[in-house]
Amino acid sequence: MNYRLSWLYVVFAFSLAILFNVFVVSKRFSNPFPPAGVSPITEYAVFDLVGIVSGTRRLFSDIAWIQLLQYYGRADKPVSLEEEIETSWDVVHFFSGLRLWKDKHEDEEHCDEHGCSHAGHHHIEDNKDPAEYKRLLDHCRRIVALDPFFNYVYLYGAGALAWNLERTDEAIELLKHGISELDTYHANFGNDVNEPYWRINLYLSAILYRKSGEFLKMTGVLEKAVRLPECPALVKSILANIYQKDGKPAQSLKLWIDIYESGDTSYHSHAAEKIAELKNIMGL
Amino acid sequence: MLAIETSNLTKVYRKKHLTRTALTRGVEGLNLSVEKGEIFGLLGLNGSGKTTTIKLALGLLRPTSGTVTVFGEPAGSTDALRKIGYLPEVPYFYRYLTASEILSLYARLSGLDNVSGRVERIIDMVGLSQKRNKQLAEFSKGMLQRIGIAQSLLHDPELLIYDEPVSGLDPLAMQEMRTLLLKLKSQGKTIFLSSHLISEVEKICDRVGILVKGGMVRTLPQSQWASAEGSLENIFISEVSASAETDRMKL
Amino acid sequence: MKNILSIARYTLIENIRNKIFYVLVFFGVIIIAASLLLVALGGEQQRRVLLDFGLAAIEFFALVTVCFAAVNLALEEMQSKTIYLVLTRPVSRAHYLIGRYAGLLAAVYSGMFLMALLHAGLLVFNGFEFTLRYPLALLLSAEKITIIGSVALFFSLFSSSAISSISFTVFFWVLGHFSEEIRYLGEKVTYVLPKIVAKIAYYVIPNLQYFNLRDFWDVPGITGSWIPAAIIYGILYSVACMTLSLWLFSNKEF
Repeated sequence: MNYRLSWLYVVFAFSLAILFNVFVVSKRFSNPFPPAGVSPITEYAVFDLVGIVSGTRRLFSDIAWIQLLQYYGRADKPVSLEEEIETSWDVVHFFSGLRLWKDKHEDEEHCDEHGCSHAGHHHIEDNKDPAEYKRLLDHCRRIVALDPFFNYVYLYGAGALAWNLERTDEAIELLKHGISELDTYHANFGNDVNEPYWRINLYLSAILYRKSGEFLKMTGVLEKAVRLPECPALVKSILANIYQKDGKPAQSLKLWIDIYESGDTSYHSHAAEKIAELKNIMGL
Repeated sequence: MLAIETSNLTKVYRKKHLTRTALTRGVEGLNLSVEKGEIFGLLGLNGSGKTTTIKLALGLLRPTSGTVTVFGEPAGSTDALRKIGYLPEVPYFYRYLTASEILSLYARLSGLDNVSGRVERIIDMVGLSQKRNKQLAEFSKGMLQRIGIAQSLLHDPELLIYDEPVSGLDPLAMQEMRTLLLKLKSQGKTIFLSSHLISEVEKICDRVGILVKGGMVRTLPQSQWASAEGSLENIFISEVSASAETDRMKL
Repeated sequence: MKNILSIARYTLIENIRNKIFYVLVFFGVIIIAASLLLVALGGEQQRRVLLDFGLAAIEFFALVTVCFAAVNLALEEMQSKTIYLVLTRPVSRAHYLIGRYAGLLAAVYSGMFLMALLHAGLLVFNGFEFTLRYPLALLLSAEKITIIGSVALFFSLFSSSAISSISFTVFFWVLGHFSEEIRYLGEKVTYVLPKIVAKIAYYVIPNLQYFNLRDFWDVPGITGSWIPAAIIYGILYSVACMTLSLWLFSNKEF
């Protein structure tokens, strides 16, 4: 009969592997992810748990990201010209010296006198139902619960909440959550988190300035933001409109070209329109 | 030196059920000796312990008690296996390999050096030259049997252990097998075969052992049945009947 | 060594010629191609989606293949008795098992390599910038599969049922990724016994998170300092499982 292996070899082999784990590998490895928690969207709790237990957090966070885009519809519904103008209109007022609207009655009287464009009458109530996309923040939180280092979600989500939906408090909550996650990670691991940390702080500053009406500072911060990698096209489009209204078509054109080439196909057609429009203005 | 020698060999199969363990005796107190250069036939009914004996000699099973040696080496040791060519009752091969590939594999595993040359000769010998590059999944039963014979002879072993070698063969194939075995014996090989086909066994074996319920009841040389036709069958039946009678008396 | 290589070679050929292997590779290729659809939905994160989906698909394909192949390697061979004509040759059982395992891994790695080539091509086409992280992530996935393959082999020798072997292996895969959560639970619980059990489980079960570099892609400041130790650990654990399998196999009767 062939040699029968003694069980002692088995014990020895496993002891070696386990001791190596205890004294070497486990000392060098630290799991950067926080422990699994309950998903902010309970309908996906089990689904997200599958991602965690199968070691595919990033993949499932990508699926959650796609679900966010489907929910929010940004991939299908590019911001219209009127919507973009309306979003940056209060900033334009500041730069042009016009007063900010305070109530509807005053606006109507003003426009009856001066013949304002329809866009000028566009109020938040006409743009989007405040109750719409009420779970946008939850979707963003869900993604970053799976992958806290999916920094783009903080920027995109905050941008959408602050500038498109005018829910600056939720945007601030999201960004503060991102900062808190990075703080925790840095405290536990000591790794350098400056780059994402600074970027999130930048967006937070921009939104805080917007909320407090300090549009000059907000624009300055946005200018820094768009120079960084992973700046959402949404934020670039905000600044591009600001530049256009501020009489800086060349800078606006540069941003729209950047948006067109960014890879986000949802902005392609609109960016192409804007590029054509700006080239026309500049006589190119 | 004896080709195969067993001393008080016992094998008990244990089958565990929920609340009990069932014990089945495969062989019990088996004393068997196979001389070098002879053809030894192991006769017995189904379930008498023929395959168990063969598997014990090959090391596929471990004895519960007793010993079994092959050319003085412990059964199942690599030294013993090097000298054995085995043909199971139904040879099973890797379906996705071709005839050449499977024989080349077995040749390498047997430690042969000139693998391709040896494989070519053996394939020609068993008449499968045209099929050498066909996958075994496409082979007929007869062709698989020939591959089985080929792999057992590949490494020119001293001892051939064939389990029911003529089972399922047509008369022509049976005759071919008979001729082959006699030829191998003339080359000095020892052949240990098991069968329940008495007519075939009595034509080629030098000695026969009769197994009944895992025990060797009788071993007899050719001279004892060669004198009268059909006498081996009579001897076999009388031994089996006697054993059955003994069991009835015990009850 | 010659015996191990001969057995590994025929195992590789056997697996590659098996129709199920082709189906799995084809399925893997389809998955990667289908990821392009998801990429289109990914907004500005297309490259990330393509990267993650492809790496996960490669690993998932390898897991499925190694589970089925490892189970067939031992279980089916014993049931179909093809093992008889190998074990009745002057080949030690150790050489046989190691050779079969090596051939199985070679087949799985080949499939992973093919899929990785396709995936890398798609990434290049989408403007992805390659770093050392990509091949390293694949290498660690392969290491994970090596461990799970040895576990699958053990379960196939231990259990007589293919379904239960595969189920146990998948369960082990899940446990391996859940190690960190087990450790966290152990720290949080107040009773001593569950604490000890959790700690033992954490160290005994192979922590597959060590090999999950594809999940740590964007983690700031990650240096991978644990990786060399993790690779050694993976080899040690696989060897331990193979030793266990060998112990079982050396005691098996046919």
